Amino acid sequence: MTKPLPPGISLEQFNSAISEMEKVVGKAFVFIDDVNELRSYRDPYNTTNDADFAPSAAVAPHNVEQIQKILAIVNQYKIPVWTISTGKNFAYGGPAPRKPGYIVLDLKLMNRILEVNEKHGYAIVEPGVSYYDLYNYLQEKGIKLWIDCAAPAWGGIVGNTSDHGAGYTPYGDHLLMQCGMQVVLADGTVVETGMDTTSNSKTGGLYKYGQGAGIDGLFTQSNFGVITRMGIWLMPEPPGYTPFMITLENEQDLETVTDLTLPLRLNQVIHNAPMTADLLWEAAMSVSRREYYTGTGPMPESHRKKMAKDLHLGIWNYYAAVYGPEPMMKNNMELIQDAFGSIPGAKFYFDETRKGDPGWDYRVKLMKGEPNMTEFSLLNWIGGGGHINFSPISAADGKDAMKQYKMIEKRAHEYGFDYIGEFLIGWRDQHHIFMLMFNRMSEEEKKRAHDLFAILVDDAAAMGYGEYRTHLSFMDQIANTYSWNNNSLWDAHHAIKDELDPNGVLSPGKMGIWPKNLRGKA
Amino acid sequence: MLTRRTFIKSSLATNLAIAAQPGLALGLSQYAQEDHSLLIFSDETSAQAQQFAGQLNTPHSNIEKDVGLHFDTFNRFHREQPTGWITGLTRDSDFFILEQMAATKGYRTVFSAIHETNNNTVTHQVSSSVDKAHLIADSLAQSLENWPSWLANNITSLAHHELATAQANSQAGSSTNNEYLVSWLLIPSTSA
Repeated sequence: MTKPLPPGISLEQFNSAISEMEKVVGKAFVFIDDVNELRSYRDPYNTTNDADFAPSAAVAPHNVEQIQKILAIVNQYKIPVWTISTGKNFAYGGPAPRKPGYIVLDLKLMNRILEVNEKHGYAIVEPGVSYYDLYNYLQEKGIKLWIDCAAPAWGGIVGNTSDHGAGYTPYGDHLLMQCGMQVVLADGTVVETGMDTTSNSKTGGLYKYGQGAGIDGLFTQSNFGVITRMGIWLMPEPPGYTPFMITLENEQDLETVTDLTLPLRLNQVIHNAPMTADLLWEAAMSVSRREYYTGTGPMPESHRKKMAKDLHLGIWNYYAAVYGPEPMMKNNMELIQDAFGSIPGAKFYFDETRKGDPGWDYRVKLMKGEPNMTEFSLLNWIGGGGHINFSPISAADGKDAMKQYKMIEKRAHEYGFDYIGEFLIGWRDQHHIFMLMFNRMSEEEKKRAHDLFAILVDDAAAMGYGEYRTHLSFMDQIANTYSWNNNSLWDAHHAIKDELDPNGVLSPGKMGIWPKNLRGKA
Repeated sequence: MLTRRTFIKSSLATNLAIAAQPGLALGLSQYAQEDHSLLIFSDETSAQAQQFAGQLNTPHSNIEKDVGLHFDTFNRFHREQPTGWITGLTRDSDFFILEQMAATKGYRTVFSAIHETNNNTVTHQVSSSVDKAHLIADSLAQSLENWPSWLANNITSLAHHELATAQANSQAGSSTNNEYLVSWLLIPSTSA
């Protein structure tokens, strides 16, 4: 394949820009060899052509000063850069850029843990710090703080937080736990947010707002700047931790369990975000589809039932935890058992009765912020599994959960795919993650998955649901569903973009935000 | 109750100091061929993967389900044996993760093959250079139940330097069923 060039840039201009970048970061940190270097900046799970998201180069700066110099170069040549931190958000595009030819601005070398404050429970990290890095650091130093990691945990704290990712401890709303950031704007200006902008600040990691407009959120799921540092609150290690699982026998139990959860969640009886995972999600941790069904299309009900029985799983499987001193946990667990015990057929499991089950073991780790990679086992459900995630938000309401589930399941079956999904109840909302899994070796299956995803966006929008995050391929389509008042929100995004990045060099097209020179041309 | 876990066997130079994590019994040995130290991963739930690792003369194994527990092993090998090669016969997800990690450290995939067993027939789908793919697939099929041993004996000579690959399928009877494994070889770009 011929390597793409940045849009509107000649080979001579490209080579000249690359040469200037090499002077800034060193030749070893500018990557242009498509075979040996740039393959790690592709999206292995994309559902279209590999070339659609192929970068022309990648550059890895070591510090803010180098970022400023790189931005000066790309502004001069009007070359788009696509910023990544660890680039591991597979299912949403991984490290690949929105359009071919962009240069990836890879912040992996900026991987310092700048501060951990055990007393006040926060850390300040650079974008290249992964969940594993921070966890290992805390373990090595004996610091009694927990991280809250994504599953899988090879991703980065800054990247996941700025992509509005979620975790599984009581600190699972990552952006809510973010406190202060440093950003480099397109013109090279460095901005600190919150309290760190005062001289001799000692409260940057403690208080989020400072004085004036809070602008941290502007730099998340956007392309208005390059985040180079972030504060994140960490949970003090609690005196006790009781994870539990409830298996539910009937499809309709999703409605009941969701409605029973909301008051327990609002009143902090359940401390973390409970997950309700479907049978196949859980089964895929232990078995593959072919062990139960070798036919085509969605797995038939009879096979599902046998699998559920063999693996002691429910049609839905609910996971949550309580944290704190023993009397508090005991009290909360009594309330929880009273509430959910009313569901016919519901079975409770604890570590004594479930340990050794890969599905249980990895959830137990996640709910206490212990990084792992077990969730990737899901990809073995089919051979050569790839996936993109369809992630609509709804109220934490049983009827909404059922409505979304039935809509997605029906469409998935119509297109020949299994429904594999989970619901995560936040503070008042519910994230629904439908893992659209396909054989990444099959062009036909990839196209079918792509078509299914596109129609799900429209179906969900018609029902009043929007997605919280998405793959590169669908950023524009989903942006168009946030269209109230003649797209006034996106008009506001574009006004900010034009002001802060007039040459349109920073991550053009990220989440549907385009600079004026490329707007309407995607 | 549960039947499947990810088991990974890793081996590397005996003199490497490994800080084993709780619950792990990391096994260490050295397998060197053509001056390349080799780090080996295998899925321990699979008899085929065990045959593969056994043929490479690795007497120890570790048993668990999370490839993340091996990131330290991987990183240490890369640091201490920068010209070393990495191979495996694993679940697809484990290969995916290791391949992605390796790519960020300058490794490239120079051989991979899918070994899929259905209805007591194993199909070998080999990705290699145009002149080699069919030969490799046929050799695997002709090795019948011993294809993992053939693979182990030849893995380091299967590297090819073209990314444009040919795929070849070959089938043979198998006593196992419903398995999907991937064999693979990663080498540092500087070795290519």
